[in-house]
Amino acid sequence: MRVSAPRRRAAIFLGVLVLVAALLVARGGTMRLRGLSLGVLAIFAGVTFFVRKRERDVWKNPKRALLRISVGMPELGARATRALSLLEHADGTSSDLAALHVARSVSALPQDKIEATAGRFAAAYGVLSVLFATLTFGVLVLHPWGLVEGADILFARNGSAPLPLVWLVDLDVMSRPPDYLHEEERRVSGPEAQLANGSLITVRGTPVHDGRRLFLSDGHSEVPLVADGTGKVVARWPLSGDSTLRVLARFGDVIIEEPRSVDVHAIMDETPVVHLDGAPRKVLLTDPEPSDIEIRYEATDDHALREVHLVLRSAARDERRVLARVEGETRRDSGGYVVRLSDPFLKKSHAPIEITVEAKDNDPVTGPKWGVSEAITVVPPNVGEPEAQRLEALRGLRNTLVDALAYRLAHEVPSARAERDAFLAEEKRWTKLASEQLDQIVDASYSGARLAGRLRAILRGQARKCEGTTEAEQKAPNAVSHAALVKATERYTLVVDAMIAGLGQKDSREVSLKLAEVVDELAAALGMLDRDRGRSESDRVKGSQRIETTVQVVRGGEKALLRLGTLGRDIGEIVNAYLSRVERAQKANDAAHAVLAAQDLSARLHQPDPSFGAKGKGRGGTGESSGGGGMPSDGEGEGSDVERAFNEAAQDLERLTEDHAGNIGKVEQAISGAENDEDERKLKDEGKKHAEAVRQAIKGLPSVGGGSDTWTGKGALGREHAEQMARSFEQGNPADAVSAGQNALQALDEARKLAARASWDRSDSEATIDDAKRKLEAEQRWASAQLEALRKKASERARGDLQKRAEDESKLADRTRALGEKGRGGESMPEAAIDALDSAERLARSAADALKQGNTERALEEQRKAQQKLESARQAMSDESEGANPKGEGDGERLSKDRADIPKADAHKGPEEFRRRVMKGLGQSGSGKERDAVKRYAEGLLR
Amino acid sequence: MKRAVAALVAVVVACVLSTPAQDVLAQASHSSDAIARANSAEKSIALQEYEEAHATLSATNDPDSASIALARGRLAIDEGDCDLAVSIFQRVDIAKSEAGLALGDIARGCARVVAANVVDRDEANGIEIRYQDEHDRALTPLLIETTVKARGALTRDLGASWPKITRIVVVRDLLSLSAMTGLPYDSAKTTGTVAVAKWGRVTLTSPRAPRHGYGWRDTLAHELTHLAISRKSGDRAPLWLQEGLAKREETRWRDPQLFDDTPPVEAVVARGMDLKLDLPLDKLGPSIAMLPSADAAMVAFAEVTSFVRYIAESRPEGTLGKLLDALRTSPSTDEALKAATGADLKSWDVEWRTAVAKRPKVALSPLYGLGASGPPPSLTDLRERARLAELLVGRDHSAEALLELGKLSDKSNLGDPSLAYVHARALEASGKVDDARNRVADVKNIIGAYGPFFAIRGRLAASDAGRARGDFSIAVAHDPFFPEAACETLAPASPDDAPLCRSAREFSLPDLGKD
Repeated sequence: MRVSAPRRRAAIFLGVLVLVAALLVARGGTMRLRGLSLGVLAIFAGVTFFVRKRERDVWKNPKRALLRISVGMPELGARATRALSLLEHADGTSSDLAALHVARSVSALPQDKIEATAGRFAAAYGVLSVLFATLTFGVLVLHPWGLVEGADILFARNGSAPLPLVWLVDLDVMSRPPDYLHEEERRVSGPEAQLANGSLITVRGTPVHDGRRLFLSDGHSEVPLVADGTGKVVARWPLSGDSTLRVLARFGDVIIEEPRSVDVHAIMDETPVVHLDGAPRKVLLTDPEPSDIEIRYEATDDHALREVHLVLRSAARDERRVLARVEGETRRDSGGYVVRLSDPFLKKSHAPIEITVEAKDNDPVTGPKWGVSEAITVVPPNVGEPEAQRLEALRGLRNTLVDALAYRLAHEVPSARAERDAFLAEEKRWTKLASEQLDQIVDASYSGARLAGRLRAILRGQARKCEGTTEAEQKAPNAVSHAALVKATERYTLVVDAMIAGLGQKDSREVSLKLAEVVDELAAALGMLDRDRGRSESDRVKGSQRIETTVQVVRGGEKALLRLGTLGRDIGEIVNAYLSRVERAQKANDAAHAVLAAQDLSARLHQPDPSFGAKGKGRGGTGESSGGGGMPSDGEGEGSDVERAFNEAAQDLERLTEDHAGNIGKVEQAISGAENDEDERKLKDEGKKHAEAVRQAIKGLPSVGGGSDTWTGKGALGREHAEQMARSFEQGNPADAVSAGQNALQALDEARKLAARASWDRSDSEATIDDAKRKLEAEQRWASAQLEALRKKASERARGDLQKRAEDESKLADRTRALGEKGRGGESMPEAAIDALDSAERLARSAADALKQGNTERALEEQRKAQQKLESARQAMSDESEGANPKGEGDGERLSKDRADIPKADAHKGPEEFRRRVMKGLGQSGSGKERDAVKRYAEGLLR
Repeated sequence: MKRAVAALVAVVVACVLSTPAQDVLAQASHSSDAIARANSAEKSIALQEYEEAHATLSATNDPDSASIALARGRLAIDEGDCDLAVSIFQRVDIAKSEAGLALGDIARGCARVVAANVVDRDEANGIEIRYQDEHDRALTPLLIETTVKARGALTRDLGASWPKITRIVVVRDLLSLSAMTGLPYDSAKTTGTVAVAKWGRVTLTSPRAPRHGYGWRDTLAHELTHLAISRKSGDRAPLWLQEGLAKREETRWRDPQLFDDTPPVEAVVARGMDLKLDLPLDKLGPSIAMLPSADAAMVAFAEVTSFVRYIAESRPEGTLGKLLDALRTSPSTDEALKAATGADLKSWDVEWRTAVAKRPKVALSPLYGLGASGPPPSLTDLRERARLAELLVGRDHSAEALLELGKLSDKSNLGDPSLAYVHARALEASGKVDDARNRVADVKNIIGAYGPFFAIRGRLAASDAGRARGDFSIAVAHDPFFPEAACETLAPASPDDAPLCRSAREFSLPDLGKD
């Protein structure tokens, strides 16, 4: 008894100590340490159980109990044990005797010795108890929370301790919104908060226990709380999405969370919203009169916009155009744009085009986002569809003409009045019908395609001719007038027919080339699909869609081609056949051959020649040089003759205009060349005096003006012109002096008016101006008289030369008349051009007469007017040539509007005259101070 | 001791064999073997002995040699495996060589043209026909018939033999013909070439390429003749003999027709001589297809046709076959000519020119346009009236069309079968069927075969089934995709239409005057 109580106490203290040690080990947090901790506890429990059991067993067994108490007395112990054996073995010894023997043996054991031994043991246990208790107490004093934490960690599941612990006090949570929002930092209080995504959350607090690794966590990631130098710890958390933030302490693999948390809802920056007026909608370019596409948009964003783009997408192509670049905090932007039908992107796109407006915001957190509007889908006509429609319209006109021709061939002019009237009415009706149809064709737009001006001019010429002969038949109905009408109708029909053939061929070539670009894209898409076999499914789907769209466009082009006459049909058939090859290869999963077949089609479309394009005409037999060269009825038609006539007339007119300009130059040269040096010298001498007079006259005028709308400004200008006049006098050039004098007087008139309006100093200024003006007028009269006299003399001297020029002018008038007649006869020249030629001819003849009479001034005036008329005629021809197609998309050969080389100084006489005229023209203009500079500039230009 | 010496010797031999010098020697030996085998294979390819060429090339001990690769590429082109040829000619060293460059272009062109083509094979007759445009497949029976008959005629006339497979590629246009054969595109356009026999096959332009076809069956026979000549002469026949024989043989596979000699070749030669367009027979250049104009080509064809015909008619039957055999072995054409005919080219030329000069001059219709830069002025009226008549027929004004044609003088007709066709159609539409029949009855005066002319002739001769069959046959032989020829009727399409008729209708030209 003396030993058991101290031993129990020692055991209890030891147990507590082991537990404390185990908890402290568990606090390491790793699986190993937690396992070790549990292991120690388990071992300790096991050992305790074992010892306790053994002790019980010892005291239940008398022998062992005797041996225990007889420690240090082995003989006595052995004797007592042997005595006990007498009781166990019934060998005939009386049990009472045996019991007595046992009692005696036991009592023989020395009590005091036994007690002394027990006392020693008790004391030892007591010491151990104190030691254990002290150690335990020490640990408890030093790490009181460590044991709690250890216990918490020991029972952790899934890395998280079950019991939350408070780690921070004085908790302060602040939120700073992203900079681009330009908002103030604010405190977050309470367990919930709504903050802008990208905000920086700062958590600050005083740690409850030192030495813990504290973190701020949303359950997925952790940010360490670090000392801020003031005894607190701080962590900054960038917000990127909804999260629950809490502080936690990390012990190895285990965390112990704070019981408090903040649920943060991140307010995301929204994608800009773009509204496009009228979208979604489809715009069909196949409409008869499609108009430009107006784009009106409004883009809004919750924070700020940065850019707004117009985006055009068609098949694999896309193009972005900046509509707006926005600075600052603009949350809304609206505007407009017009996508013209002539837009190069639209022109080059043959697949449907999606037009959207896209706006970009300023979100730096998740990156700028593009908001996309609904789309306006522009559906272009099939490649070649406009051209096919245009050709069909012409075929309609041809049909009418053929019907009209059939009627006229089948009918003669009846002799009976009633029948004749009906016949004439019918004749008139056919002509009117054809003319109306022509008007429609000329005015119509076929999905943007129009008939070229040159062709319109040719057709109008034919129509005029037909109307004229119809009119003639109406006036004098007889066999002759009827035959003339039949002939005109035949010709008109053949012209339209040839135009259909020519236009069809030209359109087929152009459509073929356009389609070639689409097929190039098809080949590229097929090739890409072949190379992208390993790519993602979505890429493959995109590739397949691209192929599908392109094939659709090509099929559409094929249909249009088949309607474009012989060449179109030829190429259309090829498109059909080759596309079948592409599709066949695709079906067989033979991408390489699909690409090759597409390339074959592309190569063919890039060479839009007839499949059999023999230049030869012979009809050989067979073999290498066989070939159907065609029958005589094949070949160029009447239309090409008329077209050729039109082009020839245009070229003739071009030459005539240039020649006439040359003749004007020659007349001017003749006049200036006839001026006499002696006269010039005399004039110079005399001019010096008049120059002085002029300078005296303008002495009182201001030399610097106070503004263009003040009298001083105008006065200064008048003075400047007068200075020029004086210089011209000194140079012996009365023509320039007159011109400068006129300018000076005009400026003084204006100065006088402005001076009259001025309220101050009026009398002086008006008087000064009046005085100067009076004197200048006198000098001007003198200059004019000198000029007249000089011209008279020059004309007389140049009479011979002017006669020659007069003859030339007459010849030019003849050429002008011939050209006009040719235009009228060829039914190809526009009316405006013919009228202008008539006027030019009249004026040229008048100029020739004036030259013959030596009236050079009138001659030059008439010549210049004639030149203007010739230019007008040329312009009328040009308008017809290009009017319908200002962007140079006309049909066939255009009149030359290309850059013209300026002739060099050493070229022949014509260019030399041209140079002289340019220099004179440029040199005359401008103020006196600039005159020389202008002249030098002109010389530089023409050198 | 012996073992040690043997080992030492073995080591020394091994060392010697591994020296660079030995490498060079071995390479040189390989190269000379490769070149010899490549040359031998090339010869076999020229003779269309493809199996032999394969065997020769397989036996080489330097398969990577450029010469061997070139020969393999050439063989692949001949056998129609253009993809393989392309890959061979992509080898850098080969692609840089002159031959590799030229053959590479042809291989690439061929690969592009034959990609995803449809192929018809007649195993029994050993014929393979490849179509670039599958709509041409309707021609298969006629192509096979022509090939079989032409091969028979050539075997009969020249003793020709044939490779296992006769390869025909029907291309859609001249661009593809050029790509397949290497004939410059501009030359093809200039001379109006429609077919080429090269690379062991006939490349034939589809008869749907020219607006109203061409004599495609005779052309096929013509080109097969070239293949036979190349095979028989070892590709050593001069151009005049090649073309002259081909012209002679192109009509001998079938029964003679009236316009087989239209225009008469001697008349063309005479006209060519007048216009100084004739060329010496041995100065025709590499190909008639590469002459500067269609007129020059026409005269050249007439020259060689007349010349070969003269030789054939002056010597016993079989002489031309013997000449081809002689060419294979003789060092020169003259010697071969002497051996086979007893005279050289110069003597034959003089003799032939004398004979041509002696012949009475036959006027050549101006419609051939030989030597003129455009149609004669007198043709303008013909052309315009014919067109107006077409348009009037197209708008159901056939009576008025006849009035329009009536304005033409009889002389302006000039044997133009296209005008006759328009006239007959106008007459037929006006109910004057007998007149229409009479209008196309006379074939002697027309300047050449014209599909639509024979189509309407066949249609109007329906009561005379034999003649109608003949007319339709001619029509199809020239313009097989003209619906009136292929369908033998103007009636609308029906499910019972023959394949050729269906194909003709699918992409047919609009009817007369409706284009």
